[in-house]
Amino acid sequence: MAVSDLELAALVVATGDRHAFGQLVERYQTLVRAMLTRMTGNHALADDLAQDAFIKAYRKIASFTGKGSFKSWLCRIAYTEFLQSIRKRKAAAAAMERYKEHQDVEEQTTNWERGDAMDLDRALASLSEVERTSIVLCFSSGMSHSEAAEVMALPLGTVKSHINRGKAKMRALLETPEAVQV
Amino acid sequence: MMTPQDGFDARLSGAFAKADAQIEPDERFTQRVESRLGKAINPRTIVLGGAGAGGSAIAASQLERLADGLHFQNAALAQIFDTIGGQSLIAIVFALMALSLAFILPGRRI
Repeated sequence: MAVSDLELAALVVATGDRHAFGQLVERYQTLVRAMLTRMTGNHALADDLAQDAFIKAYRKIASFTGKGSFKSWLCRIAYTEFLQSIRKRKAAAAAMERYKEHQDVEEQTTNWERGDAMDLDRALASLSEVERTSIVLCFSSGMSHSEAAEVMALPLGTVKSHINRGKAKMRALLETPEAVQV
Repeated sequence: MMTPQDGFDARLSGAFAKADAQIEPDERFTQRVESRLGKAINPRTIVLGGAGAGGSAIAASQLERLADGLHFQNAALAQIFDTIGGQSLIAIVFALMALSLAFILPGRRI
């Protein structure tokens, strides 16, 4: 029988067992990397942030009390890392410009399929940071609205508004493909 | 009945699923995180270790008779003992022991 997240976390707290934490990394790395890739629009940056998020989670694991899910707790740390990475670039607008530049580079250098993923990332880049995060948490990470509100430390109603606004913008972009072309 | 909004939600979920499927589990990612864990010194360890070391040093410095009767055959040790004083030496040893415990215990595996 698979060991639960809570049991693994308790083992890490009690013994600092790196391999137990490694199992948690294995379980959630795809989720966190996908979430950060969609938020930043950049593969390499997302992987760096995901690594930092896991290191921070290891250091702070004693604060995981098992009240909510490990997934929500971890995503909150990843979201904080994402916010900090934006602050480091002084302003969110400047950061987005940078992400777009990275995206253009990736477009040329990776063998990602053109099409849906590219359109999706461009549509996401047109959203505000909170709208993008709300949409990613609910549609990519599979969280409920209340889980997303918990991760973002925002009221549920506010998150719902961000999701509705974000979806409306994305719908306008994705359903008129020429609008997505930058 | 399915509304146009529900239809768009389903399309959006599908687009995310398709995009996220390109991000595959990466064993090297886990290895990189695990190797960084080894180098990561928890700030809590430093704070607790420092507090423990300070407490131990103060406690040892209060035990006046602990250093009585200590005599070193080794000339170098005897000189250190005479220079900094037996009680200070014991306080330093206790502090180092507490600090070592603070660094060793978190890395211990069952």
